[in-house]
Amino acid sequence: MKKIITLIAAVAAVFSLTSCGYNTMQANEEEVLAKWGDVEAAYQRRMDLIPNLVEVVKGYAAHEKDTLTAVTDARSKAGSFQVSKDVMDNPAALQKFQSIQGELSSALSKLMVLVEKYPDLKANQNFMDLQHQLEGTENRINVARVRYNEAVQKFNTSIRTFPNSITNSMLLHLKLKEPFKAQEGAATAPKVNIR
Amino acid sequence: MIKKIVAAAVLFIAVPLIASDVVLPALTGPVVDKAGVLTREQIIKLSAISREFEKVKGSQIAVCIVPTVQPLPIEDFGIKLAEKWKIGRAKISDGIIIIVAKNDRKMRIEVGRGLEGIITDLMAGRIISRIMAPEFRKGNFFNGIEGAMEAMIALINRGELPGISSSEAAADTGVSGRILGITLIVFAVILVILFIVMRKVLPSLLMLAGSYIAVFAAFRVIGTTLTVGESIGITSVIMVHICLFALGAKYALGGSGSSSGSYSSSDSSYSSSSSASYSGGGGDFGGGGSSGDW
Repeated sequence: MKKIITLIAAVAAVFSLTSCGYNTMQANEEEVLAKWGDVEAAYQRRMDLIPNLVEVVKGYAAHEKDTLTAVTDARSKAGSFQVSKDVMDNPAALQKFQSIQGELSSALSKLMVLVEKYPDLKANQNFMDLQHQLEGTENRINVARVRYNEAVQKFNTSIRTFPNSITNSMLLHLKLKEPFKAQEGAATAPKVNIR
Repeated sequence: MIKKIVAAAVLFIAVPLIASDVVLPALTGPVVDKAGVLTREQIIKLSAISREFEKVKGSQIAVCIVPTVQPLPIEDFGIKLAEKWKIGRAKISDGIIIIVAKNDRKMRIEVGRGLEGIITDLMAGRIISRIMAPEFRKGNFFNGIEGAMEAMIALINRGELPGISSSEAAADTGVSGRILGITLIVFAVILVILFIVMRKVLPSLLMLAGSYIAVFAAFRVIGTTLTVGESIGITSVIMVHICLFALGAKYALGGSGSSSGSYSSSDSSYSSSSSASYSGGGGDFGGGGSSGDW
């Protein structure tokens, strides 16, 4: 009799442990971290492109100082901004990150509008190549942000729902993660369409 | 009553089906032509190029021709299609999808993550503007697509990609680790039970210590390193569980069945394949590639 009880208890314990969500929540958090890495990499990629882009545009439109300095300034601001480790848990930090990158986006889009006035520049092979790369980067940023938000949603759901919520409050103490919010910056992101 | 339940079930299943996947075509072969711009022979020829290349190099190249991608931008359509088709090998992610939206006069080359270094956005852009666009303007969809495929195959052949067999090996390591981890957890549970059941003090304490170590090792194998406190915590949780269940079993003989949690397997279902059995290998896309129009 006692043996049977022990056996039932053992089986039940194994099942209840697999459903406590300990691993799921941590796996989900890892996924959020990985997706955030992609977001940062995509933004970094864009920053790496900008000096070349500014250089090429200068060759044809050096007198458009305002627009060019706006881009350079926004870039150096974004470059010097230290992304803190807790940016995913901290709404204010993420908001800041987003607004700084948003400024760069809008400066870039103004630059791209300006380019329309210079047919020679538009026909320059260097410039066309850079435009391909910039387009690709903007698309990567978009994809990375969407996937980060999906990962955040999955993670937040997983730590809020029962029984994971109990496991979390007892053992893991994971904090809710912050998603990107659609904002003005996203709407004005440079839509570089050439040809 | 039964009618009601059936109706509710149908509604539950049908609504998500209708809500998602409104526009994405199914992957019926390497070349999916929903706009009817290619002849049957041309489709067979392009498919043969793709399948042949997959045999030699492992990379998958798919073509999707649709009348329109509206209301989505072609980039969003592309990434959604890539997520659905999963072209390219798992882990290596060496898939390419050529997307043509006939009435929108737009095309896109969607490049898998593993190929982003070989087919850069720049190269994809050049293939579009120098090979595809001029042919498309003349109405030669076949030539444009074939030229693009050949150009990308040449690029991949020059670049360095893992060989054919390595994808399967890479995919399986996670599963065996998980099995080992679960085995260790079961072992820990048995040790805890022995600790509770045993009368003698010293051996029972050894069992307890063993169970801490087993828990620690189990999570280590799965991929999380626990602190000592955490492994003791988890073991205690196991113990409390066992005691509770033992009590429950004692009082309500027969025991209350705990509902085992839903276990979601990591997307092992193969993506849609049909007639000539063609399916994506699980490749991942990150938005690489380029778009253009003609």
